Amino acid sequence: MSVLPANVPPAGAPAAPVSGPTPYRFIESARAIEAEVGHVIVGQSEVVRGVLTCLLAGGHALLEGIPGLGKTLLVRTIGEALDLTFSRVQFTPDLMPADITGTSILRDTSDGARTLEFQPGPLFANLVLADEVNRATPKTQSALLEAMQERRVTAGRTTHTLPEPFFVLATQNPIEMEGTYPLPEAQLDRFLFKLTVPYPTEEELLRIAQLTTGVSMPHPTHVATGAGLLELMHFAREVPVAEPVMRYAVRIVRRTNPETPDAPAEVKRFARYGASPRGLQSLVLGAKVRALLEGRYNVAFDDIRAVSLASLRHRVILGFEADAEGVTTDKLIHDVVATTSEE
Amino acid sequence: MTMLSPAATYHAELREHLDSVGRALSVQRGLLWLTRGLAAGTVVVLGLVIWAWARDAVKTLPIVLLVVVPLVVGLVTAVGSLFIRHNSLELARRIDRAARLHERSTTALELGGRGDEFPLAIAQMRDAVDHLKRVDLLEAFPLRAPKHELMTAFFVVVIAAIVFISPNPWLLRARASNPTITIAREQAQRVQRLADSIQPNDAAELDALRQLLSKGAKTVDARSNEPDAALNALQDLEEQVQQMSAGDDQIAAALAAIASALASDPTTQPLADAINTGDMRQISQAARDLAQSTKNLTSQDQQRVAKVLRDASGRAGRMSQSIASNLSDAANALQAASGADTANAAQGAQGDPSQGGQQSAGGAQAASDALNQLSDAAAGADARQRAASQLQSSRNALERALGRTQSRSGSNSSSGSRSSSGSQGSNGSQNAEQSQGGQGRGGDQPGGGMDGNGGDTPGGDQGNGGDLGQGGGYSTGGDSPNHTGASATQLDAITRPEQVPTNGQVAPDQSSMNPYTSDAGTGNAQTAPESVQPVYSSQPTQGNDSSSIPIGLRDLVKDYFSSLDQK
Repeated sequence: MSVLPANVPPAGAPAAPVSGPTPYRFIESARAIEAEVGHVIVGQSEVVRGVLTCLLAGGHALLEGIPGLGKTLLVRTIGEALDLTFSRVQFTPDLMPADITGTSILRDTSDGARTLEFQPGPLFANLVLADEVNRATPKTQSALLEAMQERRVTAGRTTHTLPEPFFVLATQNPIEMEGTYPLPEAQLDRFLFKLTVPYPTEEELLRIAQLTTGVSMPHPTHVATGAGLLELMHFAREVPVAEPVMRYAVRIVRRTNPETPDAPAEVKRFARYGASPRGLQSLVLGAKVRALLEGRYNVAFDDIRAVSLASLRHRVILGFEADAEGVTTDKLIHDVVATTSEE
Repeated sequence: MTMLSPAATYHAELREHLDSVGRALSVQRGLLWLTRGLAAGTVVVLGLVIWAWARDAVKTLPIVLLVVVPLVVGLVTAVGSLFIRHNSLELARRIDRAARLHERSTTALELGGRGDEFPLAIAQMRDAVDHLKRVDLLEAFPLRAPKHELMTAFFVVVIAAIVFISPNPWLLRARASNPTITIAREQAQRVQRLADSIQPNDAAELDALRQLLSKGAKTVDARSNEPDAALNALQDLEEQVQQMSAGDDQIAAALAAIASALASDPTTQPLADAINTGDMRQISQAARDLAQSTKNLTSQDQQRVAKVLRDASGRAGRMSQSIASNLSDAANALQAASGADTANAAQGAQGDPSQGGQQSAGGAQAASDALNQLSDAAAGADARQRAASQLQSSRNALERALGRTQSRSGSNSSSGSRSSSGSQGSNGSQNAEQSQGGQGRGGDQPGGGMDGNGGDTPGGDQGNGGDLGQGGGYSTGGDSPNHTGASATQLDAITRPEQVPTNGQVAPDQSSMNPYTSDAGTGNAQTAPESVQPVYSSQPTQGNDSSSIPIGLRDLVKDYFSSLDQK
């Protein structure tokens, strides 16, 4: 349960009559989105919060989980709640880059001439669900990831800017690795967060069964617009971070690197590469959004710790020894966070 | 009036709150440093105790010091900590942690310091101030006793106490292997007992002696682990006592000079007898008795005693002005009392006896006071004499234990002869019949002297003549039949040194039966025992040193010869 600041009205109270983004509006909007998604998605509150954080921070998210956990439903529900244009691409090995970016087609004009006209692909949406992204060939993956980073698509000699906001929510299945093309580390780095979708609890499963096997399914209503979301994104970037907190984030990122002298022994032993500066950006941005969602106007050490796993787990590359001993990146990051001093 | 911007206002408010936090933390820090200082002080105390323990001087440590040191260190550190200023950023960090403010204060302080005015910054600072207002400082920074420091102090105190009361095994072993240490301690104890035997209600001049002896005994005891140092301390003490005894020669000479005069009257005869014994304690007591008896004398007796005392005063005048003065005062007072009695009788016949009676009583009292002063002087001389004797005996014992020859004894013997024999010798030449029997130490009286009473009973070895102060060993005297029991104290066998002119030899005057030695027999000795004693006493020492005496018998041999020396 978040603790509201003294000047933030309690949940349910009318929003303060202030135009433009304010802390009230940010928190109210975030709560509204969470509530709408919660109507459809049972449980998975951490994942929902993670995705929302990722969106408000202006980043892309990679969701990993076994099939049937509601990843796709979650992304679609968020898209509906945000009143954003939504597209879904099911990645397969035969999917070509042009299939997602779009292609130029020859078209007859009214004066009888023929011209090449760019036909936008599914990437031209505010919210793109890249389902099972690891099943596409590296070529297609690369096209997607380039679009994620540059937020534009080049077809022929023309560069097309993607709409704003632009979010890619990719999913991948950690099992059934046959016939898949795991994302290269450099491309994984483009995702702000990597979220692991856990298996539902018994109660959650019960509710899922009750909710989804009836005659009708609940549908979310629009609680925010793309423009509103952009304002919130800009607002989140203004959240101040005290220098000790920033230094704490820097220390955490540095200590994921095995070359750092004060890195934990486990990191030195099992990690091949640590998090990049982009990981630090991800950590701080995520922490800023989390601070606002927690009802604070500043980033705390707790915020850094809370988003560290989602921000860094796909940026720490393990060595062979870690695979052999079953050491995961989550464990290493836990160690790093636990042993990093706030001072 | 200058209007502050919202950010500046919040910043000022924030700093104000942080100042209150700083004050609360100062109190906490003061408490913490108080206990840390206490702990540090106890460690210092432990160090002192261990230092003293290693030197077997724990008992010399003043308890007050051991208590005061930790308290002072604690107070100093506590007060000092109050002067250390808090860093604002550090304060903000601490309040954030303690009150779970999630870095609100830290961030707001930074924003205020930078003067940021954007909406979110102002909102953040207002939020931080609002949260700070709600913080209960006592809840955030409860006054807790610093357990670690207190426990440390407690354990250090326990350890110090244990060390304080525990014997030092190394020192015990050292003592066992070096009996000299034990001897030094024993001598220190003897000197202390001597000091204790001087009554606090004695004359004021004795207080100084008592304190000197007591202090010296403590010094010797403290240095007993280093027998050489203990010996030096003993010698220093002896010299100081000798300096205090500088006037005793004159007192003794004056007393000897007046003995014959006092013997002429039955009232003063006991004092004369006491003087003849040479025992200052007896002299003191006899003078006090005489002072008491003067109050009850008849007019004729007073006149007679006054005459005797005046005669004695005349004789003493050449030796000691103070003795002569005391006697003269007493004689005058008695004369006045006698005159007052006569006048009283005459006035009584005329019906007004009261004035004469008062004069008579006053004169008797004045005479009594004068004689009491004489008694005090004798008592003082007695005490100093006993002290000098004990110190010399102790020094001799320690020197023997250290395996040194008695070369110093020779020199001391000179001073000893100066203090007693010399003066008495002069007396002997003047009043042969008294000095022979009374002092028995006449310097110019060779051969066996008479006993103290001048009677037929054996007088021990007193009175053995010889060349005074010619490097002779210091005789332990022996049990003179005239001793009044003063020697039967726990101080030592020696309470009154007898300077025996022995040509540098030492003559034990008493021996005891020892199952390990055969009877000396009554053979035809060609050499006086005094002449063989040094060789005799050095043999066991050499035997011990050369291991020719079995280990099991060494202590026995040493004890035996030590006992001989102490007699």
